[in-house]
Amino acid sequence: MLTFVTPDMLLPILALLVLSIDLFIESKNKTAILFDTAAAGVLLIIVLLFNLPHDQEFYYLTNYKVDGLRLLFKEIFAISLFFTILLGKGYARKNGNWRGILKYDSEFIALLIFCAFGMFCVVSAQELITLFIGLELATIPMYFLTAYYKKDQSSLEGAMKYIIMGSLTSALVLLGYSFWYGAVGCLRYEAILSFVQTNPDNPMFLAGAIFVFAAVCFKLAMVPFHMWAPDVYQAAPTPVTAFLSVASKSTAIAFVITLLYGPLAPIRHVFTYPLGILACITMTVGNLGAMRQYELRRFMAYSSIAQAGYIMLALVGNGKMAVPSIIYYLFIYLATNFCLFFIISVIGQKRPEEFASLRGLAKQSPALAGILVLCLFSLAGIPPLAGFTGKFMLFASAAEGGFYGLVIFAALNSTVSLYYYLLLIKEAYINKPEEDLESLEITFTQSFSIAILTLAVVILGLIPWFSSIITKIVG
Amino acid sequence: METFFTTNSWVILLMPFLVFLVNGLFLGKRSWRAAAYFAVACMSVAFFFAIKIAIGFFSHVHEHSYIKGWEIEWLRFASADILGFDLVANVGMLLDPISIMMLVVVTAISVLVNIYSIGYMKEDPSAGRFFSLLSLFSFSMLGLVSSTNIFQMFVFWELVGASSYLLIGFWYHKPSAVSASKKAFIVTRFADAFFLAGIIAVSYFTQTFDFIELNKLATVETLNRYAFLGFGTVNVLTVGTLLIFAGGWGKSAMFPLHIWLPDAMEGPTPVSSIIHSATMVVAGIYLTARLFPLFSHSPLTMDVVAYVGAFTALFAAVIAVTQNDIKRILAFSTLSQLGYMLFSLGVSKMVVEEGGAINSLGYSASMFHVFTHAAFKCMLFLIAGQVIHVVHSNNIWDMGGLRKKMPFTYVSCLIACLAIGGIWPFAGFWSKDEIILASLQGGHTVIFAIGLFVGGLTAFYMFRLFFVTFHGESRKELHHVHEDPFMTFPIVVLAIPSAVGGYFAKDLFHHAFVPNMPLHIHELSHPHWLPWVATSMGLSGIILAYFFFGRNKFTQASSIAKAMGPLHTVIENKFYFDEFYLFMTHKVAFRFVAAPIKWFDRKIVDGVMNLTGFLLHAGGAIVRFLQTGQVQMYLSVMILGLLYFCYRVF
Amino acid sequence: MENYTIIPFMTVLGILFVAGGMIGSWILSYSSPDNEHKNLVYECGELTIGQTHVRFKVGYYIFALIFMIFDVETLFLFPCVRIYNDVANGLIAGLSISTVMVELVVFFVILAFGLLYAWRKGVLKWS
Repeated sequence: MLTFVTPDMLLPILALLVLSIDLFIESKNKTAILFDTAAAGVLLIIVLLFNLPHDQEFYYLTNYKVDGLRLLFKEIFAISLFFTILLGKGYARKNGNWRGILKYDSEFIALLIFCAFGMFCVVSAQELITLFIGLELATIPMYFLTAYYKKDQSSLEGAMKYIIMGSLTSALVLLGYSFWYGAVGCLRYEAILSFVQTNPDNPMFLAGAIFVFAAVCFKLAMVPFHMWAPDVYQAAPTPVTAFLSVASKSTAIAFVITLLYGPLAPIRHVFTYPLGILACITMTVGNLGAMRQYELRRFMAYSSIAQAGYIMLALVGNGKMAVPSIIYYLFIYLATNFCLFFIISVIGQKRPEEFASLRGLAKQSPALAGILVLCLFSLAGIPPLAGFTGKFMLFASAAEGGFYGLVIFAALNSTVSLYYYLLLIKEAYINKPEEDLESLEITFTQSFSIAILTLAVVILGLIPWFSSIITKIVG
Repeated sequence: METFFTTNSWVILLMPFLVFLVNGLFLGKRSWRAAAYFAVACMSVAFFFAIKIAIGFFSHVHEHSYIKGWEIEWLRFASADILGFDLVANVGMLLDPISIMMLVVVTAISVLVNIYSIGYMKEDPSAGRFFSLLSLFSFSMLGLVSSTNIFQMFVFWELVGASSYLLIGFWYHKPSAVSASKKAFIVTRFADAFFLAGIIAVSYFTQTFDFIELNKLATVETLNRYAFLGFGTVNVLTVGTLLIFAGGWGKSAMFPLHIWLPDAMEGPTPVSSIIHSATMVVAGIYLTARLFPLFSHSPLTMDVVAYVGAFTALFAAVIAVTQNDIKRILAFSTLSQLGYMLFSLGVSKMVVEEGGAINSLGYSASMFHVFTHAAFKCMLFLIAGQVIHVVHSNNIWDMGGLRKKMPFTYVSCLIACLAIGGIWPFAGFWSKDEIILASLQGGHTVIFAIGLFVGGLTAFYMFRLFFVTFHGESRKELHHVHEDPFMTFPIVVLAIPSAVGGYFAKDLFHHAFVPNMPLHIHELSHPHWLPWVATSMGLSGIILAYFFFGRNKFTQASSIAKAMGPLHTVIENKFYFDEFYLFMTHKVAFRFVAAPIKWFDRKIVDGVMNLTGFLLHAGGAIVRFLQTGQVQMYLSVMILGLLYFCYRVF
Repeated sequence: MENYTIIPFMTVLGILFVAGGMIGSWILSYSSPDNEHKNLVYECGELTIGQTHVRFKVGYYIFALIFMIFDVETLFLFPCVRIYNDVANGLIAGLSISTVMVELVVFFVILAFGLLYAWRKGVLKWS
C-alpha cells in the first residue's frame, strides 16, 4: 500500500539526490546534469502518479490521505514542477537570459522540489499541523527563490515584501488554527467536521476560519490581498514566476477545496458567496491592472490575478461541477501559462522581458508568434481552444448555483481581458522593431516543451472525455 | 459483413489527411515531385480500401443494409442527467450503397487527378502547396460522404468549402482568381447558414443528428407538426427540410445560386475537374439523397427539388450554347447535369395514380448519374486542361484542328462527348435514360419534356465544343504540341467507365440503390419508344452541331446568332445574373442597408465602445496608482479584506 | 459566553497596568538635565569598547543555524520518546514500532544531510 505515497516520498529523495550530485560530482556541464536528473526524476514521479488508481482512498498513518482528487492536484504540482525545471535550465546557461545567469543550480532545483513536496503535503494532510507544515514548506522556499538574483536591488526588494507579507499570513493561519483548536480541542479533520456539524455557528470557530481564508486569499492573490503579486512576480526569476503563478496558486486552491469539501463542508455556504464576490472584484482589478503594463512578468501577474478570479468563481456554484471544473481549468491554465513563460524565456535571452521585445516576433519566428497567439487566445477563452472549454465549465459551475449575475459579470470581464491579450499580439505582429533584432536561439528543451504545451493547449479543449474523466474521478 | 476493410475504413480518411500534413509541412517546400508521388501513393491506398469495401459490400447486398465502420462520441451537447435528454454528435463512417459509391468515385478521381497534376503543375513554383491542398480537399470530401450524422457532415461540408476556396484562389496573384474564390466562398457560405439553421431546427425537435435515426418514420412523425420557428408558426418538417436543402442548393450551384461555379473555373484545371465537376458540387445531390426518406415526406420540398433541378438543367444548357470559353462551357454543362440529378430525386414522388408514392427508380437513376457523370465530366475537364496547356488559351475559337496533333485526346473527347450526349451504348445514355423514364413514370410531364429537350441541347453544345476544338484548321500558330504522358494516362483510364461503365453498372444501381422507406411496388410502365426518342434527340443535336460547326464554315452559325440578336446577347451574358447580383449588393444593399448601419455603428456603437474603453483605462490607471510599492499600504489593504470577511460572516 | 467576559476584562486590566506604570513613573520621577552618565549606553554594567553597531561575521549566524539542527532534533525526539512505550505496547492504533523507527531515521538522515551539505560547502571553516 506504500505505493500510494511513493511519489511523495520520492520527492525529498530527489531533492537530496540533486544536492548530493552537486556536492560530490565534478563536471564541466554540471548544470545540465543537475537539471536533466531532476527533470527525469520528476517525470518518473509524474508517471507514478498517473499510474496510481484514481478511484481508491488510502490513508498513510491515518493523517495523510491519497485519493483521486488529491492525485489530480499532485499531478498538477508535479507537471508544473517538471516544466519549471525545464524552464529554469534555459536560465542557468550562459547568455540564457538578459538579467544574467541563474547560479546555485542544485539549490535552485532542490528548493523547487521541496516546495512541491510541501504542496503535496497540503493536499494530503488530514490534520492541521501537517497542513501548516506543508503550507510553510511550500512558501518559505519561494522567498529564497524570489530573491535569486542576489545582486539585483529590485529583486531583493520584492522578496523582502514577500517575506514580510508572507509572514503575516503565516501568522494569520496560525492564529486561525489556534482559534479552531480552542473551539474543537483537536487538530484532526474528522474531529473538526463533527464539531462543525453540531455547532455550525460557533463564533470562535468562524473567527478562526476568517483568518484562514484571509491567508488563502493572500496565497491566491485575491483582491485585496493581491498587492504583493505584481512586485514579487516581477522580482522573481521567470521560472519562479511561472511556478508561483501555477503551482503556488493551485496549492491555495487545493487548500480551499480540501477544507471546504472536507472539514468545513457543513458551513461551506457561509464562505462561498463572499469568496465569489471577491472573485469578481479580483478579476476586475486583475483585468484593469493588466491593461496598462509594459513588463511581461508584471503583466502575467495581473493576468494570473484575473485568472484566479475566474477559478474561484466556480466555487460559488456549490454544486457537483465546482471541483471538476476547477481542476480541469487548472490543467489548462498550467499548459497555457507555462507555454507563455517558455515563449517569454526565448524572447528574454537577449532583450529585457518587456512588451517592446516582442516586436518583430512574427517576422523572426512565425511559429513562435503563432503559438503566442494560440496561448493568449486560450487564456482569453476563445473557442475552440482549451481555455474556452475550461472557462465555460467554470462559468457553468457558477450558473449551476443560480448566480447568473456573477456569471455575466465574469463573461464581460473575460471580454475585457481579450483587449490586453490582443495588445501582446499587436506587438508581435504589427509594431515594427526599432533596430535590427538579434536572431532568436531556441534550445532543444525549449522547443520540446513548447511543442508539448502547445499540443496540450489545442487538444485539451477538443477532447471532451478529458473533462468527463475528471468529473468521474472527482464527482 | 464486417470485414477487415470496413472496421479499418478510417484509413481512407487518414491517408489524404496524412498527405496534407506531410506535404504541407515537409515535402511540399523541398520537392514537389516527392510530394506528388507521395500523394498518389497514399491516395492509391485509400482507393484500394474503398474498392475492397465496395466489393465486400455489393457482393452480398441486402436491402437497406448499412455498416457503421466505426463511430466514437465527439461532442456531447446535452446529457440526460442535466437536461433530461441526450444530444450527442459522433464522428464515424457510415458505409451504405451511396456512401461507398462516393468513396470509390472520390478516391479514384483523386488518384487520377493527382497523376494528371504531375504533368499539369510541373512548371508551377508552388506545386507542393497544390498537392497538399488537393489532399485536404479529398480528406474533406471523403469525410463528408462517409459522415454518420448531419453534424459531422456539416463540419466536413465547411471544410470542403474552405479547401475549395483555397484551391480556386490557388493563383492568388491573379485578381480574377481571388475574386472568384471569394465569390464561391461567400455564395456557398450564404447557403450554409440556412443549412445550419435547418440542422438546429431539426435536431432541436428530434434530439438526434444521426442519419439513420433521422430517416426513420418516427422522426417524420415527430417533425410533422406546427411550431413557432423564429419568424412564424410553420410546419417543422417542411421548413426544416427546405433549410437543409438550401445548403445543398448553394453547394450544388442550383439556380439562382449558380453564379459562383462558372467563375470558379479560375482555379487550376485539375481542381475544376475534381471539385467543380465530379465530386464537391454533387454534395448537394448527395445530401438530398442521404436524407431522401425524410425529404420525401414533405411534398413541397420534393416539388422544390424537382423544379429547381429541372429549371437549372434547362437554363444552364441554354447558356452553355453561347459560351466561348471551353471551361465555362463545361461549367454550365456541369450545372445542367447537376440539375438532372436533382430533379431525378424530385420526381421520385409520383403525381399520378397513387398520388405521392415513391418510385425508387428516380433515386437510383440520380445516383447512377452521379457515378457516370463523375467519370465523363472529370475526363472532359482533364481534356480541357490538356488542350489549354497546349494552346495557352481558354477560347475555343483559338483552337481547332487539334485532331491530328493530339490523337489520344481526340478519341477520348469523342467518347466523353458521346457519353454526355446520351448516345447508346455510352455511359451517359443509361443514366440519363433512367432519369427521363423516372420523370415520365412519376407523371411530371413538364419535367419530362425539359429532360428530353435538354438532352438534345447537351449533345448540341458538347459537339459544338468538340468540332470547333478538334476539327477544321488550326487558327493559331502552335509549337511543341505533344501529349504529356502523365496527363494522357488519366484521360485514357477515365475513357473506360465513360464508354462502358453505364452498361455494366446499371443492374447494380437498380438493385442496391434503393431508399430505405416504403416504396411504390407495382410494375410501372416502361415505354419502348423512350430510348429511341432520347437517342434520336441526342443524335439530332450532334447532326445540328455538325451542320453549324463541323464543316469549318461558321456562316450559318453566326447568321443565326445575328438573327437572334438581343436574345443571343442576353444568353451569352448569362442572363445578366452577375450584373444583377452586383447591382443588388453594391447599389441597393450598400446604400440602403449598409450606410445607415455604418452611421449607427460609427456614432452610437463606437461612441459607447469608446466610452467603455476610456472607463476601463481609467480603472487601469487607478489600479496602477494604488500599487505604490509600499508594504505598509499593502498590509493595510489586507486588513480591509479581513474586515470584509468579518462583515460577511458575522 | 462567560468564558469570553474575561477577555475584555483582561484587556482593560492590561491597558491599566501599562498606563498606570507610565503615569506613576511620570508622577514620581523628577527630571534631571542630561549628563555624561545618563547618555552612556548602559546606565549600569560594563562600559562598551568601541562602536556598539558592529556587523557580525555571517559565519557566526551559519554556525548558530547549524547548532539549531541539533536543537530541533532534540525537540522532535522528545515526543517520539514520550509515545515510544505506548506504541511498543500497541496502545496507539495504526502505528508500529518499525514505522516510528523509520520516521526517526528519515528525520536523522535529512538533518545529517544538512550538516553534510554545510560541511562540503565549506561553511564549517572559520577563516
